[in-house]
Amino acid sequence: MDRLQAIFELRDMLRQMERDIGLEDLSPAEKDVFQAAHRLTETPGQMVQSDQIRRDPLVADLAQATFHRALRSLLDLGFLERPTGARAKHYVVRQDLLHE
Amino acid sequence: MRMADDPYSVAWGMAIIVMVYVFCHGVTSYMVLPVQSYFLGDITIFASLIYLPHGVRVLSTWLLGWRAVVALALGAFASEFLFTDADALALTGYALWLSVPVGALSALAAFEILRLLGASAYAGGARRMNWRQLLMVGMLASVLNSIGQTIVFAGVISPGDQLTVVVTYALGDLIGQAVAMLVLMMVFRLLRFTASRV
Repeated sequence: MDRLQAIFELRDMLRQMERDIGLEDLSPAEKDVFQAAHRLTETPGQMVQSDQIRRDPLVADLAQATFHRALRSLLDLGFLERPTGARAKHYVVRQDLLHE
Repeated sequence: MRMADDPYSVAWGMAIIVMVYVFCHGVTSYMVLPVQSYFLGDITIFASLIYLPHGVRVLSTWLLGWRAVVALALGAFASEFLFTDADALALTGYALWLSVPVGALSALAAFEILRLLGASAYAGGARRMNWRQLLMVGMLASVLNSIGQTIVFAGVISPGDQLTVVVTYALGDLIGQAVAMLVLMMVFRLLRFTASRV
C-alpha cells in the first residue's frame, strides 16, 4: 500500500472517530462555507474567490457577518489557506484535504 | 512506489512500531499498573487492565499486515527486558518469552481469519474501515491473545486464577486499544491545529 494512502486512511478513520465522539471542529456555517469552497475547487491548489463561495446556494442564505466569521475561522483552523502573494479574498482549500 | 516493494519504507515503519510499542509498554508498566495495583490490588502480575500496546498491534497490523509481526515481537522482547522486573522474569521463566510471539501474532491471526472469511479488513483494501470495526477486529485479536496467553502461562498461573487472567487480558487489550486510538486521535488533532497556525 502506498505510504501516503495508509496515513490518509488512518487520518480519515481518526477524523471520523472525532466526529462520532462529538469533538466536531466546525460549526454548521463553517461546514457550509468549507463545502462550498471544496465544491468550487476542481484541481488541487486552485484559488477560489470569496465572492464565488458567497454565491454558492449552500451559503447564499448566511448573514454577511456569519459568512465572514466562518471564512476567518476556516483560515484560523487551517481548512482554508491564503497562499503567499495571493490577492485578498482568494483562498485555497488545503491540499491534503482534497484527496477524497 | 508501493510500501511492500520499498525496503526503506518497511524498515522505517518497523522501527517506528518498535519504538511506539516500547513507549506504550513503558507507560503501561510505570503508570497504568501502579494505579491498577493501588485500586484493585495485585489481581495478577501478568495482565494490565489498560494494555496500550494492543492498539499498536492492531493498528500496525492493519496498516502493514504480516510485516508488522516482526516489529511487534522485537518491541515486545525489548519491553520485557526493559520493564519486567527480575522476580517476574524468574517466576515465569520461558513462558514469558513464549507469550511474546503469541501477542505479536494475535492481531495478524484476527485479520487473517476475517480475510479467510472473505471480509478482509486490512488498510488499503476494498473495505473502508471505520474505528468501530477496527475495535471489533481488536476485540477478536484480544480474545485470541488471551486464549493463547492462558495456554502459555498454564503451568505458571494457578488454575483458580486462570479465569481472572483471561478476562484481564481480554479487557486490558480492548480498553488499551481504545485508549491508544483516542490518544492517537488527539495527536492528529493537535498536529492539525498546530499546522494551521504555522
